[in-house]
Amino acid sequence: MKIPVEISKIRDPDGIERIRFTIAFQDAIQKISLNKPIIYLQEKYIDTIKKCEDLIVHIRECKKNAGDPVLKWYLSDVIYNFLTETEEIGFVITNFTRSLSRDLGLSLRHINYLIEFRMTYPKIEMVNKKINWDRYKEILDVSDNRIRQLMIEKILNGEIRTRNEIRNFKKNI
Amino acid sequence: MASGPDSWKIGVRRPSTVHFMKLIQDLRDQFPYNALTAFIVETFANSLDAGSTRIDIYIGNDIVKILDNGKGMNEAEFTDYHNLASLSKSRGESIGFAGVGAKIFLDKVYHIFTETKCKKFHAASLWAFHGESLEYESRPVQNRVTHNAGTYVEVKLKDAKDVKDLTINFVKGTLQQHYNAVLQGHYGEKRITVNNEVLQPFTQDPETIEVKKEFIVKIGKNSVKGFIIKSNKEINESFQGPQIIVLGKTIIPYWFNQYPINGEFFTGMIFADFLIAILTTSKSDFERTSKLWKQFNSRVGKVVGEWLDEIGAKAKPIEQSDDLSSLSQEIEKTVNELLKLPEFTEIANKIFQNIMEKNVVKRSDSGEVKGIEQEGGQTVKGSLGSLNKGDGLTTFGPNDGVGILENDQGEETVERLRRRVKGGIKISYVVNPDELQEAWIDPSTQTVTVNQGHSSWKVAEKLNSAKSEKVTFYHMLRSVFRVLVEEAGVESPDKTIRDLFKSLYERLSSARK
Repeated sequence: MKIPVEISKIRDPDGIERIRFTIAFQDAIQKISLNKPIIYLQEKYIDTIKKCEDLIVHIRECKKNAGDPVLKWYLSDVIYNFLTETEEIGFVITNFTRSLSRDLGLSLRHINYLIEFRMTYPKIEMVNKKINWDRYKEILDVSDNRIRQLMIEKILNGEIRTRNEIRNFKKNI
Repeated sequence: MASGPDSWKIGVRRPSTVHFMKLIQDLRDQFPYNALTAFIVETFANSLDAGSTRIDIYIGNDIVKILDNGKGMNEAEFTDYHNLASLSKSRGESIGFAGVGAKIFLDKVYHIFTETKCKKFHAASLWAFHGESLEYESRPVQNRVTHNAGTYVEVKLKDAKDVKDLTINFVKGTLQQHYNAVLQGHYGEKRITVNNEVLQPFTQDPETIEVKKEFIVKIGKNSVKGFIIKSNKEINESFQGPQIIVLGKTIIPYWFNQYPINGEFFTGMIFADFLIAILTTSKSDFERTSKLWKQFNSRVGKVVGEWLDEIGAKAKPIEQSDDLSSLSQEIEKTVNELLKLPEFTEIANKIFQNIMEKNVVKRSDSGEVKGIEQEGGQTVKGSLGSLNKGDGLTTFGPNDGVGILENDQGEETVERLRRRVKGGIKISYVVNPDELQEAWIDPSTQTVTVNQGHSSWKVAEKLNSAKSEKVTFYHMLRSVFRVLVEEAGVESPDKTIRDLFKSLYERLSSARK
């Protein structure tokens, strides 16, 4: 069974709040050796935040980058890899989305979209640069791969263009 | 860019444009290290990919010169070399980032002079930015390639900070860190010099080696060879832990999710050239979700883990034996009783009571606020003011499952409630040798931070594993007891802590009887 951990900002004796992974006291005394993986994940999370921040700066540089699904995929990949490694080591972060939202200044919904995006498109080759990120967001909740692919083709052919047209298409599925 | 009435005339084809400066910066951003390191690592990678057995590097004031005796480039390859997004190298064959080499530094130099020589071709070029335009021109050969074949690259730095940072020691350190396996001769005999001095690899003094494990692991058709050394001296930080090597390049240090006691005393090399197939584009990490990585991780991890176990260096999690399970329950009880003591009433109210009362939300059709589903749901029993209300309410918390959290962008309708949620002390860890305290509390988050950089923890870690567990266990308890007692401002903290341990011991003794 995976051990629950929480990401918190803890105030140290110098008065500065720092990001820490916390576990229940009971888990800490039952599994004394948790300290090393916890410290490792803590550092890995901070590193993940830095990598994400760099990518976000790049994404926000111009409108073109903001809509670039490839850049969003890179961002989602960094987040996804951290989550995968955490689970591989045997932990589950109970407030991951909320913490990431706080530490990156992105909305919870945006983070959920990113994770969903990376799970739907595990390889970057599967992402079509010609489709704007906003369009990808709209089709992520289509669970049927074939229908999603059909929608992508229609978007590429200009048969469905606006957000409303995509939503109407989904309603009629 | 063309503009005017015809600029968007139907049917008129135009070539796409590339912002080279930006492209170079983007390429560089994919490396997990700084621009100078990327420049050295990539230029050296190109020489290795060319099959060089001799690479001479010279660092002048603002000049870097690299000469190799590799196969050199033929005319087509040399032309393609000047194509920034050249794909002359296939994925899975070379350790350099698609032949990027010194090009990754083009925006930070006055120019790059390249001379290349092979059997049928000998030419040179000067490549530089002129404003925003990236241009190269053919130059007379200067016979800088003194071997039968090879390539010479000369770079003139522009940035004053780069000139200052690019020292001989920086280059030596970078090459040792990233290509130590090549320097040690694991990839054939090669002579690498920096300013005419043969570059020595980082090696472990044989006299400091306490124990060494060599192994070969089969993974399908491939085999992984490796060794790990435990030293009696702390290893230089850049070489700590097993380093995974692909075609001579150190990709990452990796412990296969094993966390040995005194990890800073271990070093090693694991040669896995076949992992080139799952290297990331910048060749600085692996695609860790791939099947190949998972196989590698599990098979090699097993060997490493077993060896650590054999030499007593593996930090073993304490199994939940009946004894320990009852022990932990007793400790929980003791801590709860500690909070009921009159001395602790104040701290209990001040620290814990407020935190146990939290704003939570539950799904409600008549709710006026929005909520969103989140991982980590917990079932909350009881509520402030009434123990019966709220039984079984699923909300956000530290357990597996799906809970709900207030969020104005959510789609669920929820109502706000005040609820007593699962409380208790939380533990976080930090390694801070400069901090004199062994542990401290952040009352607002109810977290005791245990400082494992404190000398008492170092002592515990140096003991053998069985003893270490007991001492670590004792430290954990003492840290928590002490911060609670200190926070409460008890008059005789030492006596109170002693009483707590005594009470714990008595409870344990009676439980065992």
